[in-house]
Amino acid sequence: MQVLASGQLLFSALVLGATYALIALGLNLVYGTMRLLNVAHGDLAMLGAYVAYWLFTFMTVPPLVSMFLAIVIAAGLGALAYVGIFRRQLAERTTAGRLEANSLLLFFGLSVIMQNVASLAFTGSLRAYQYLDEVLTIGGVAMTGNRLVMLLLTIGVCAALTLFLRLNIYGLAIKALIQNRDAAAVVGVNVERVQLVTFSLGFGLAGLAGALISMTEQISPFMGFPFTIAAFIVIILGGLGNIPGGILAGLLLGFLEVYGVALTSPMYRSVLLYGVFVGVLILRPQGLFGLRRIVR
Amino acid sequence: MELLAINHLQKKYGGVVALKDLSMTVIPGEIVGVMGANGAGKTTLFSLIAGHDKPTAGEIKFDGHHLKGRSPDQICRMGIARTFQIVRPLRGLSVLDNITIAVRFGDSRTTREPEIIKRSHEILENLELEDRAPQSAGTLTLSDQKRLEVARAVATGPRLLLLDEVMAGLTPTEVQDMMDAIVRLKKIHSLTVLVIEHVMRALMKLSDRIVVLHHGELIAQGTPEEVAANTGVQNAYLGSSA
Amino acid sequence: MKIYLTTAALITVVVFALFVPDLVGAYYVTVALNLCMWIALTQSWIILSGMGGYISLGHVVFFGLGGYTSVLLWQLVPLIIAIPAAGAVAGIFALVIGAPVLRVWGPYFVILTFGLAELVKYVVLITETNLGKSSRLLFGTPETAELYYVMFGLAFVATVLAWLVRRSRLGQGLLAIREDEPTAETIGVPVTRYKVLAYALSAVIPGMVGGLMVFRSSYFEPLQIFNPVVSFNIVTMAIIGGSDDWRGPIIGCVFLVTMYELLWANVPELYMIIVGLLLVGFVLFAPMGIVGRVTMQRNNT
Repeated sequence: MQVLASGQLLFSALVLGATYALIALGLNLVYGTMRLLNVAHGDLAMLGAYVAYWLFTFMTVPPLVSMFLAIVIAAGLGALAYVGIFRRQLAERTTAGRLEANSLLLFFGLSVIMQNVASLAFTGSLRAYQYLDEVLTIGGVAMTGNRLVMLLLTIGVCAALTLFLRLNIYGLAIKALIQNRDAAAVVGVNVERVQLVTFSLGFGLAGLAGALISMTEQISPFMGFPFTIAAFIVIILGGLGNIPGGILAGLLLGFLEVYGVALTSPMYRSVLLYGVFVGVLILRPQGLFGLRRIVR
Repeated sequence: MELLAINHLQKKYGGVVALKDLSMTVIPGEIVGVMGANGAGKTTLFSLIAGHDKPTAGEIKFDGHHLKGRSPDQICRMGIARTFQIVRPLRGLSVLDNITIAVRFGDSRTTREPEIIKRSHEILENLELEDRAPQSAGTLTLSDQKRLEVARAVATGPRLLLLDEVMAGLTPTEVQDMMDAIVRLKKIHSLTVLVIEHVMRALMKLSDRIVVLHHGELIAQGTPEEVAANTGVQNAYLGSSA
Repeated sequence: MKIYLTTAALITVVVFALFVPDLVGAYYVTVALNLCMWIALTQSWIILSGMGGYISLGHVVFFGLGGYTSVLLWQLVPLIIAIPAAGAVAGIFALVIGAPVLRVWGPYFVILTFGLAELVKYVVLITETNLGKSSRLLFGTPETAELYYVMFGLAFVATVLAWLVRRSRLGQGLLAIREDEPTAETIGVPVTRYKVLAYALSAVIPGMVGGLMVFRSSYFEPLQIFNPVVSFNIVTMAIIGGSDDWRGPIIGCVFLVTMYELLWANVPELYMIIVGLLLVGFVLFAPMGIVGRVTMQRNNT
């Protein structure tokens, strides 16, 4: 019980929660505006992680700089995917109806392609680099610099995005699209362009998350998948398309995981995560804070 | 002896009251028109009768049996069929298949395969859709899809037929055809019909009796002439006569 | 006349299949075993997911539960009891969780089935760890050829089952459900009952398949028997071949198993990339699969 009160645990929970919140953010944006479930989301993070890794290893570019490149590359991929694949599908009525169900399989195919291209290109071995890993002690809690930076940056990005959605005209357009696509079109929102922006933004956020994660975790071509799962759990918990709900749910999940494992054992981590996932989908599919109906 | 008895029916969606203490009966063989502005609760009423939704209070009895807790498919087999305001054909299937599925699953009296096929063709003929039988339901014109919707409902062998704005979007000639079809079907299949309609001319001519809903409440009922002359109804519908 | 031709064709196939182990080397018996396994799995999968439209991305849960049952009963009862028991366990599991799980619609059902499979996997893993068995050794397991004969039988039965269901009342109801579930319910299709029934039917044979395949390696490992790649392969084969009736899975399985045999040993990543590309391509341009495409061409001429 003593363990639970430790600041160490609290810090870990915060870092993990913030990471989950950030990863889920991109997924939620894409889902909210276009009802597409991007199963390849974690793999975009993987790409971002590799960008940061290679730039640091070969050119000693710090991840705090290379993360911008990661964002750009991921966002670029998003724009490409949108223009190449999804724009056409979303436009036609017949395919659009099927798209929500088919998008899952589409993204899954893309995920498989990305993972294996990465595996061919980078080999499957685990890689890592050291950056800001000296231990600091703040308020009696020992932490590595990179984790602290990650926490602060993640909080910053989540806050910035929330403000963006609330104050910026594009952000408001995105919110409008999430609430009611047809109504948004009627009041003059350029649905096409906003979708393109959201897609790129969502992908870019994944790339950013990956770059940050690469500071503290080992990376591999297949590292993305657990993050995709966590992101899905978070957006379901928070309510699909509910951005602030997703941020809260991310934090919640981080806490649940860290404290849950502390109370039981690391073995139970996956059971906990998937148990929550299945439970929420069956018992409260609209999430803890959400409103959308997904049950007949 | 009432076919349908509705007592103090209430339906709330969160804070919005869609139906408020509605009581009415329907006797076998009559055509009852249901009138009201959009949002008056008409489609909600149909959804509750057909079992798509549960009332927050009150009860519905069909032929003496409570409908409470029954699923839509059970209610269908008991003898209640409905059409949807926005038509929902089974698009990927043929017109004939749409009907045979309805007969096969909805009509508890027709069970053997040859009878099912025979009855399906009969119903298609009743609604002049026989030549469209092999066509894919998604490729029909709106008018044909509306008739398919009615045909499919009738195919389930109901005693009570709920028609939800089947004339919406039809030309005057098509409206007349639909009216004739309804009268024809009623006679051939001994149906009792509840009709929601905005096309006033059709509603007035078809109905034996009309029930008027407004903001979820029943504000008037009577013969078409009585209802037309009713000041309460006129106040509710200033300027909305057909 | 058609009946005689079909029966003759079937008999030929069965006789030929029974002689495969005598005709080819051990390696190809394994290939035949795998092919039959995928056919059995995919034919079962299409009962709910193809005909009913509820795409299960976690079908490996039945495979794994069957495998686990088989392992637990190993050396306690003869295989002739253990394998059907494995199927029964899978079927009962489907019946029990069917109602709540099938209330969830569309893509959410898809990810739910996936999450469910992973959950069961980790529960089994923890159970095994708590029982002190991090992996069980299996001695005296059947030969590959023996496994093959039974697997062929399962593939055959699964194909017949898919064919039967498609023509039955259940199949008609499932098609209506796939088209438009609320409408189907309105015209009298007992949707909940049919969905759960289809789910259970789609679980039994995979359970038995898992019960057999668990003996392919000499030790039992939960992470292997509940491997999500199995689920993904099934979906891919069904999408490529077609998931409407029994013909699609056969084409899809033959196609993918052939490609696998050609590529996996040397460039596994290339195989996966091609599979990914095929999946994307088919979902975008031919979601009805090869069979669906060919049928469409024939109908249009």
